[in-house]
Amino acid sequence: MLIRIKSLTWLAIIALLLMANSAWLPVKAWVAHRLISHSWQQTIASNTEIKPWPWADTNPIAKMSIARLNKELVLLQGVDPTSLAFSAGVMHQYSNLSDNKPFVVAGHRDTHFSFLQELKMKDIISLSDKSGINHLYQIESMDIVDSKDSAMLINEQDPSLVLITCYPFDALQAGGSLRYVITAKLLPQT
Amino acid sequence: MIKSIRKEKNSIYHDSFYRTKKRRSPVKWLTLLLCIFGVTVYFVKSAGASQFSKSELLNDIGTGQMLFNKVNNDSDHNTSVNSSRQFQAAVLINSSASFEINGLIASVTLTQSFINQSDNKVNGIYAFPLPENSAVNHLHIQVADRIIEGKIMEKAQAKKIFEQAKSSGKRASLVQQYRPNLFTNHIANIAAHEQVTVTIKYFQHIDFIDGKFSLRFPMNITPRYQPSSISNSSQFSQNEAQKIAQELAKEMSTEAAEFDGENQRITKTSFAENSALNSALPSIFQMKDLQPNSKIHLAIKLNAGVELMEISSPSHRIKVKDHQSKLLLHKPFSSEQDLAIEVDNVQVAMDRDFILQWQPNPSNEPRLSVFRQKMDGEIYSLAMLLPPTQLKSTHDFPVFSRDITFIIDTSGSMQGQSIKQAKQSLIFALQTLKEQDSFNIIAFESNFHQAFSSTVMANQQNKLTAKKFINNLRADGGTEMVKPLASALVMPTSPQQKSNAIKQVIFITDGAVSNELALFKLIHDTPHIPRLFTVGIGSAPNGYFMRKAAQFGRGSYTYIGKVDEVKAKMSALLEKISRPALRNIAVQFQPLHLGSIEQYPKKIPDLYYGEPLTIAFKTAMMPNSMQLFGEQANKGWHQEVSLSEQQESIGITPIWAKAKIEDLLDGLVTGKPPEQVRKNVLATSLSHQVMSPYSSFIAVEQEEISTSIDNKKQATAFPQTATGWQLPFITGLLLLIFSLILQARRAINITQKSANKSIQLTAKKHISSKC
Repeated sequence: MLIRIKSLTWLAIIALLLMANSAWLPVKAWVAHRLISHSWQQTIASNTEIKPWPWADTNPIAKMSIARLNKELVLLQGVDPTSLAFSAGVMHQYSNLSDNKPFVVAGHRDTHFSFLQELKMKDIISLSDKSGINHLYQIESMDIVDSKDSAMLINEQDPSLVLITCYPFDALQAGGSLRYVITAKLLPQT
Repeated sequence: MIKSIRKEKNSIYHDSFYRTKKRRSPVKWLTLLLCIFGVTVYFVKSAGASQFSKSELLNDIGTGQMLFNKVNNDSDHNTSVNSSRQFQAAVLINSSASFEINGLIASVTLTQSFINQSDNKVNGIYAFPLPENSAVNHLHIQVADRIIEGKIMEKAQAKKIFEQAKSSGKRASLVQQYRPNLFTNHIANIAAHEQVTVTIKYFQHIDFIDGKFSLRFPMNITPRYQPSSISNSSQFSQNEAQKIAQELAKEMSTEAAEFDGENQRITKTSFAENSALNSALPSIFQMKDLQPNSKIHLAIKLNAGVELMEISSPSHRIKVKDHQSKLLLHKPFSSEQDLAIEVDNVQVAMDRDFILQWQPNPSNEPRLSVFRQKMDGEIYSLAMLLPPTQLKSTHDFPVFSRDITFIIDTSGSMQGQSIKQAKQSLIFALQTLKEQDSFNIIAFESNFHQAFSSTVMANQQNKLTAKKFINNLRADGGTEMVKPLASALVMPTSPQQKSNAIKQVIFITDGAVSNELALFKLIHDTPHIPRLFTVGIGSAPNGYFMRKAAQFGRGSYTYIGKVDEVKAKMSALLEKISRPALRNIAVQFQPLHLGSIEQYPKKIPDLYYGEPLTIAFKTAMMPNSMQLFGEQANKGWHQEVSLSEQQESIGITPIWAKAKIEDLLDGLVTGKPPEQVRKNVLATSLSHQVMSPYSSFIAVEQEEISTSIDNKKQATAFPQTATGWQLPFITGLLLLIFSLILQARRAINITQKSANKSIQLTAKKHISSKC
């Protein structure tokens, strides 16, 4: 009898731990993004690089907003797992908004980039950089790519915005090979 | 009374235990199954993945081929996918390829003629699988009296021409290299029974592996589609053929979309439509039947630059002739003259790739050979330095002692797999160090730590200390790369180390840096810099930074993507850099006063075993000779080669121009004004017709001008973009629900039992009271 009660309690405890452990990721993502947003505002105000927390190995470099979805997201430098845990990240090679090169952003499909599934063709995405300049992009293609089949091919001379996340959005486990790639072209500045 | 009740109580529990156990067992099983299922799902990842990858597919276009599809004049672009169902392989009526090989460079000219046998006007796609390390620099297409010429132009100008063509509503012919290794070109409006002749020129770097040079030319029409050998192979090939058709159809629809601004490019829906392209299958599948005996004429001019021991082809029978077409049988083949190589009876069936291999006479010394070309009154020359090829065993050869500083990145971005790989690489590298070597380790994040204050001899004790140091490393904190790198570049050498030891720095990082320029400057401006080798770790290291840093540091860049690659890649790197065949290489021309000499690369790297080196020069006057100096492990080395006696070669100028552009672009990182760099790069790019970031390769059709901007695409690895928190969360939730259900059931059982018991008790009381 005692053993049975124990086993059941243990089962419940394990279940709770499992839940807590996995819920930690989205919670961390959410909390971190608060901090990042804060440091972004400071960055803009002070015009210096301000890290979201003192030991961070990354810093916010741009803010992405989609008016239609009323969505705002501060983007971090780098697509390493650590940066991506906190917010969507920008690839180092393609992280300069001013030099006429693509701007490539990757994010987790189940946290920061879950809203990518709500984007539609012709949606307008706005990126504002550190100096407060807005760049407008319009979505012109949405592709599903198998990362096993081909490396990501980025047109180096095209100043477009590329958003990457895992696909399908509702897959239960990480590590699938499909990627959802949205390409938005830069609209001429008015 | 009391006793009897106790007995009863026991028996009740006994009964209920077995009853509930029996009842509960399916629930238990279900729980167990659920757990197993969860765990399985967790670990078995995407087992049902597709068997064929796109890259495999593209390789299946085994040679230059043309595919036609019918022009549908009244169709709008939404039907472009449908129209591509009529894909038809064009009949190849004639092909010829000529190769001019100078040392490590082959200039290839390929001409292929196709005919549109149908009674319809068609659009065509010409596709050619380029060998690795090659670039197309000339394109000429003739369709009846129309001529389409490929040109390298300034980007803005190309764009203007493109816009012009578009606004005047003209159909376009597209030049694209849309995958790094597949050259495609679209030709619109080919009339019935018209002939199309495509000529492309490209230059290609020759492979040098295991002491043998080799050249591969793809000429394999639909290699895997022969439904023979394995019984189920035909099914595979059908699959693949279908995929090719889809691939190309997608291409076609992209092309169509590019001409229609309102049309969406490849959208999600077009993916679905493409999968319905089954009918494209037969035509591709019949390609072999359509072209039962396509033949190609191959002519090779070989100027190896060194005396050859053997010329062979594992794929075809070849004849080696001298330039007066006398058959040469005796070996070795002298380096004095060009050799002409013929394949079979001049015409060969296009059923397999052509491979040519040539092996230099073995030698214990490095060998220098020079090729030259005159263009516009200036002399372009290419020096090839061949490392020693004859080594009885690695121990026989004198080895430099080394003084290595390892730098390991332990910043936060290295967390997880990356730091594991980096540590393993480092420990592995330590193990390979010999007694005469010395080393030090620097680990850095926001701060940096050194294992020792100077380099120390690689003895057992120091290695142990270093190992402890490595094991204690944790990835955390920021990235501050300048200080550790600077201190590595001036690392004091162990007093026990010999003075002629080679200083090397091995830099293990994911390259997540934001101040690239400062670092490049540091490396570029440090005099007598140790050789810098970068090792990229993780899924998406900053390859650009690491390649450039290694180039400035005259070393090389190694990329380690997976943990299981660590050993192989690190040992290859360490093996290579442990034995430079020649270092501190310097060049001198005779006579000494030649006016300006432009040499690329400006800093000559060291010569390593198994890796020939090329240096490109431009001089205003013809030098009489070229001398190269260098240091071997135990003695100096020099060789002089006469230039004026060399005969004229072709294909040298683009190599020089490419090297120059590379060097000019480096000016961007060392702080030259971008506008000036652009101007210089463009001038070189246009005059030599070599691609650069500021120019585009566009096809200009005479009369009707139509173009496309060349899309130079850069292949990058995809980052991992899912946390996968839902599965454990849901599993946890389900487990919780189950445990709650079980708890509830138990509770109900207990209440029921106690209810039963009390009923029984009352019943008994009743009975006993009756008694």
